[in-house]
Amino acid sequence: MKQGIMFNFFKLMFVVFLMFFNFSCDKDFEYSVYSEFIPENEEHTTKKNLERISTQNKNTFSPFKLTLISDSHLYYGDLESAIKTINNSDFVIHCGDLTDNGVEKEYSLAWKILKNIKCPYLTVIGNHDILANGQSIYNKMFGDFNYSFLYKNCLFVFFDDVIWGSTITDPDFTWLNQALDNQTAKYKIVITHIPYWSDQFFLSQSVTFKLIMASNNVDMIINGHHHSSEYKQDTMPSGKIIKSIVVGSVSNRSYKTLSFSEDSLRLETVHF
Amino acid sequence: MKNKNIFVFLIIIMIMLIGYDSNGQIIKDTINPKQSLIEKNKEVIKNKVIQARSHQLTDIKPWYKPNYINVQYAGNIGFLSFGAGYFIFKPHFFSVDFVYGYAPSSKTAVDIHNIMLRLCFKMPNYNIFAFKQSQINLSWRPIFANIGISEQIHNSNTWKRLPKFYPKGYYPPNAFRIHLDIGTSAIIELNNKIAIEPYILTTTNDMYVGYYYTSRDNVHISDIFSAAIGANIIFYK
Repeated sequence: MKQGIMFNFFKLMFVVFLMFFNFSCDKDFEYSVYSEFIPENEEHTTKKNLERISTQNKNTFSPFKLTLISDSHLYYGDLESAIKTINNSDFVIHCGDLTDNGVEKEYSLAWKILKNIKCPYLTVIGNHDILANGQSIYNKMFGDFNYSFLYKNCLFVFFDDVIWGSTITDPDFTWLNQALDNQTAKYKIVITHIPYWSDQFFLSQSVTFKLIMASNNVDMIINGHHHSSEYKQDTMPSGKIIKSIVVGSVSNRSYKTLSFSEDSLRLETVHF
Repeated sequence: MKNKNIFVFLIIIMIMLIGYDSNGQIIKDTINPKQSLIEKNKEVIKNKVIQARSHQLTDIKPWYKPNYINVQYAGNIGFLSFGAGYFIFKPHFFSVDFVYGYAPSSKTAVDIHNIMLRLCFKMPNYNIFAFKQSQINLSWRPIFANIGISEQIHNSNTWKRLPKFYPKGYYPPNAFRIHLDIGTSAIIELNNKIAIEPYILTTTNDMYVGYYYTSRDNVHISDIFSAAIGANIIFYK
């Protein structure tokens, strides 16, 4: 049986196209880039990681080390490189901006890289993460925006302080104050994405935040948002000192480690 | 993924079968390699003329009446999208589609509404099968390509213009997306008035291409493409 050259050529083209069509698609059909649908195994990540952490002794202090990463946005290569070099950490904290546009695809790409961390990891929501339907996706994928837990008698408070574009007009300072109300914790660490001296804060919000930090004797505030590493120390009228750090983006090919010992906190920068 | 494999392999088998009628004979509209070059060209021109003649009929219509209407499943403009298409220029290789796409919350966890303006380039179609004693004619468009700009409407945190509380240039507008599609279609001319053009396509958009461009080690080409199927109903009269 014979067929025309043109016909066979286009038939071949069509089959090649179909092969490309078949093997080039990650998902069969996508309905929208703004979809909020996420696979079941990617849900409740914070809860799952907290369950892994909670197997440790809560109420007795012993020295330990954390790794701090931040602002991974679309720097997936840098994030992956950072994760490969993380070792000897009890858990990892991502200080927000896991995505650039807050869409499901970016959340999913970040999640697939972050799941390779050998230890548990925890996140705080960033200003880029709330774009489009990001707030809702974050809620499904990770969980609550504000949460706290005790680890080796150290209190960790994750606080959503993103204001612009958020459904909240004021960060939930009442919740923050209550979460920090723990007299027995050896160290108190607050993790937020936006530093209190950043452009998103009104002066009144900044002052309220600082007063809460001072009155609850917070040892360190860990922030993201600014892509370069920073250290800030504010002295309140009462004489109390508020210490803050900005971790800086993984795109700088660096992250920080925070070591907790009996008498001090030790911050180190790791270049990778 | 399994469903798609079955779907695509079925189509490939169908393609392999196309070209033969029920008696196992070579279809009469295919080009015989023994024909002279002139004859082959004539054949190709004839096929083009069939299409062009059909489309010329569309000139006699009210300006607002579309040349075709479109329905599509998936393709990042909604669960289902509906469009109206108008051929521009002659010989009708280009058209403009006005599309509305909707995804219900049961599919995307949130109601999504999109509108899209799409420029389509349609490669000429080639006749592959003509049913004897009827007007039905089957032709095949090997490739078509679309470029479209869509706007996400009715959503809380996407915008055309940056809200005033942000400093100027803080974020780019995030309600717009540029889509690129490439696909292939069959054209079933039922009579000289109407034809149905079922198609499949693979699609990506500016955001996904950006991921691939910036993070090639972590974003595979398969991550940025997805599939869609649909049909155009072409009105010749």
